[in-house]
Amino acid sequence: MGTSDGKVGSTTNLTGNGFPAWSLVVMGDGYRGSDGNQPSEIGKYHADVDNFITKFFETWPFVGLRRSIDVYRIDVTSTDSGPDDPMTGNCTGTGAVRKTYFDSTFCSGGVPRLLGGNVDTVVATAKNKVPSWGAAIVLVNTTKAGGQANVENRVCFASPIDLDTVIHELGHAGFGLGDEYEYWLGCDSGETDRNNHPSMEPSYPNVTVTKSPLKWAKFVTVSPTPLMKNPDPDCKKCDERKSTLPPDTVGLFEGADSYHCGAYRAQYDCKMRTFGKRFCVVCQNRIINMVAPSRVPAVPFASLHTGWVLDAASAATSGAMIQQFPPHGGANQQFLVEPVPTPEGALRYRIRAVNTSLVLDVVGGSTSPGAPLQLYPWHGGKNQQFVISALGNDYATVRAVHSDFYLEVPDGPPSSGVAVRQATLTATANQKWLPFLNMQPGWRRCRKCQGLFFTVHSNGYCPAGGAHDPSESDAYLLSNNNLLLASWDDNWRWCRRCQGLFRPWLVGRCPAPGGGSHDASLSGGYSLPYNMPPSGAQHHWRHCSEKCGGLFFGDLRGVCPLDQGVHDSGFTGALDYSLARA
Amino acid sequence: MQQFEDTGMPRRSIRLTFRFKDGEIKLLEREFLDLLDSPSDPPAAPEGESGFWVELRDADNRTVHRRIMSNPFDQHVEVHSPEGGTSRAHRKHSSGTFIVDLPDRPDGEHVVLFSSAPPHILGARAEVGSGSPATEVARVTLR
Repeated sequence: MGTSDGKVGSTTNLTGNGFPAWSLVVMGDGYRGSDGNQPSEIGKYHADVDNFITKFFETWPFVGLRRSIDVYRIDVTSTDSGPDDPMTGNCTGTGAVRKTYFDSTFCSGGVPRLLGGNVDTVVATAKNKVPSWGAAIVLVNTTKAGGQANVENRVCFASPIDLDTVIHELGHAGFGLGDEYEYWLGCDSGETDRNNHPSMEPSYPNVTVTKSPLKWAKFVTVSPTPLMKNPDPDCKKCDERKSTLPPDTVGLFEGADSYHCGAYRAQYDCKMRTFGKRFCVVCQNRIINMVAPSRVPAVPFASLHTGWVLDAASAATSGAMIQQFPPHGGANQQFLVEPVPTPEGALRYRIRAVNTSLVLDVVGGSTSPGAPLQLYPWHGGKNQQFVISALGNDYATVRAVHSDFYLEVPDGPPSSGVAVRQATLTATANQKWLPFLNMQPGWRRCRKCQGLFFTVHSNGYCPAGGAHDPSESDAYLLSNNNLLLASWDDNWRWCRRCQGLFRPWLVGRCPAPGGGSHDASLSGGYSLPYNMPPSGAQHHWRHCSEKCGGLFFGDLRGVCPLDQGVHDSGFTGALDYSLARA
Repeated sequence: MQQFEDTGMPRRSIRLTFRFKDGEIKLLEREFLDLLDSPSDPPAAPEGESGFWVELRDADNRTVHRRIMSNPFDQHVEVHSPEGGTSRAHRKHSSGTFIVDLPDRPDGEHVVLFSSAPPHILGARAEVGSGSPATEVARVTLR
C-alpha cells in the first residue's frame, strides 16, 4: 500500500485570490480513480471538498478571511475505495484492507476511532504541489466519524461527515490553540489526576492560570473581570453547570487545558471546548493574526451610485473626513477590510486606511442619521465596527454596529467634499458599495503609439514597430473583474497578442504579426471610469473607436495599427477615461 | 488585536523542517517561501511557561520573533467520540518530523526551540506541557 496505490492528479486553486495568501490544501484518500473497471469517485471527492469549504467558510472568523485564504484541492485518487478498518485488539472495525495512496486507516496507532495515515506522504504531496502550504486536510472516503490531527506537521485526517472535528483540529495544527475542555479521559472516566492545574502558565494564547495580568484583558469589557467558578469548589469533577452570565461575556471561566480547576478560558464555550460551537474571541483573534490579513492588498471601496470611492479628505490622518471622490489610486483611497474578533462571534469588520492604524469611525459615536464618518485610531468601539452584507460577489450594504444605520453617499450627482454619512436603510443604490475594487497593476503607456498595454507577460507589439515602450510611462491600475459601477465602462478587454487594452467594437485592428482582430480570449473584464471630475487620476484617455479599438492617451495622438496614422476617437463628445496611478 | 501592516516585516518566510529521534533534534531542511509570516507572539513570562515555542534570535541572543505551537513531542492524541466528547490516548511517538515557519529577518541568526517535554524523555507516558517549564531543547544557526 502507498503511493503505488493511486496517483496525484491536478491541483486547483478553488478560491483564487491572486496574491500571496495563507494556503489550505485539501486532498483525498480512498476515492477511487477511473480505471475502467469500477466507477470513479472523483465526483464524490469534489462534492466532499465543496462541503468542507462551505463549512469552513461559514465559520467565523474564516468568513471574514476569505480573501486571505487560498484553498487548493489536489485530486488524489486511490486504487480502492475507503480506508482500512482493522478488527484487531480494541478495534472493532469491519476488517477491511484497502489500497489507498495515503494508507488511511481507522485504529491508527491501535487507538479505536482514530483515523490516520501516512503523514510524510501528505507533507511531500502538499509541498510538491503548493510549496507555501499552511495546513493540509486529508478527507478520507468513509461514512464513519473519525479523524486525527498531526499538529507537528499541520496535517489533519478527517471523515467528510465530521467537519466540526476537522476545524477543531485545525485550531491546534494550524493556529497553535490549546484545548478548552477540562478533562483528560472524559468527565465520566473517574480520573483523579485532573483536579488542579499546575501553577506553570501554559503558553497557549487561549488558556491561562494567571488571573492578573490577564492574557486577554483587552477583550474584557466588564469591570471587575467576570469570574465564573465553582461556588463550592469541587475540583474532583467537571463543572457541568450552565453559565449564568450573558453568552458573549469575556472573563475567566474555570476549567481548561484538561484540568477542572486552576486553569481558565475566556468565554463559557468555544470550538476548542465544544466542537459545534463558534470560536471564542481569543481564538478568533489568534486565527486572524496567524492568517495575517495584511497580505491582502488595500483597495478602493466604491459606491455603486456614483462610481466614486471612499476618500480620506486631506490625506489619511486622524480626524480626516471620509468623503467620496473620483478614483485616482492615491493612498488615501486605499482601504483594508479586516475581520474583528467578537465575543458573540458576529461577522464584523473594521475598514482601515492602508499603512495606518486609522479606521472608519462614525464621528463621536453618533446615533443620529446623517452623522459623518472620519478616520480615527482604532479603539474597538462599535462605532468603528461594520457589518458588510457581501464580500465581493455582490453589491454590499455597510451597517454601523453601534447605530444600525447604513453608510451612504448623497443621492443625486456626486460632488467632492461631501461627507459619506450614516442613514436609515433605504436599500437604494446610494447605499450600495463594492468593498473590494480589485485593481490590477502592471499597465503602462507606450511612448511610441500612446496605447495602454499590459507589461506582465511581455511588452507586446507596437504599431510603430517593435515592442511597446514603457520608458516614459506612469504605472497604472485597472479595475479587473469587478461588478459594474455608475460612470464606469466595463467593456474593456486585454489582447493576448499585442498586450494592449481595447474595447470590442465594430472595428478593431491588432498590431501583432498577422494583423487581424484583437484577441480577448484570455482576458478578464476591465472597467474604466469616465467623465470624472479632475483628480489625481490621469484623464484624457480615449477609445480609438473609429479605427483600432484600443485605448490611447489623447493628449498625444500616437500611432494607430490600422493605417499607421494617428488614433481617432471620433466625435468630440467622446468619453474621457481616467486611469488611477499606482 | 492584530498588528498593523508596514511594520517592516519581511515578505518572505523560512520554513524549517526538523527531525527528532533517539533524543536528538536535527534540522532536516530549510526553505524560503514567498509568504508573509504573522506577527510575533508576546515574550514568554519571566517566571517561565509550559508548552512549546520557537524563538528567532539575533546575534546578541535577543529574541526578535516568537512563535507558539502545539508541542510536536506530545505523546498523546485526541480521540473524538461520534456521540460527542473527547478523550486522550497514548501514541508511540519517539521519532518524527515537525515544521516551523519564521520570518526571514536579516537580523535572525539563530533558531531556538523550547519544550516542556524534552525529547530525551520520549517514550515515558509523560504529559507534555502540563506543569514543567519549557527549556531550550535545540538551537540552530541560520547565518
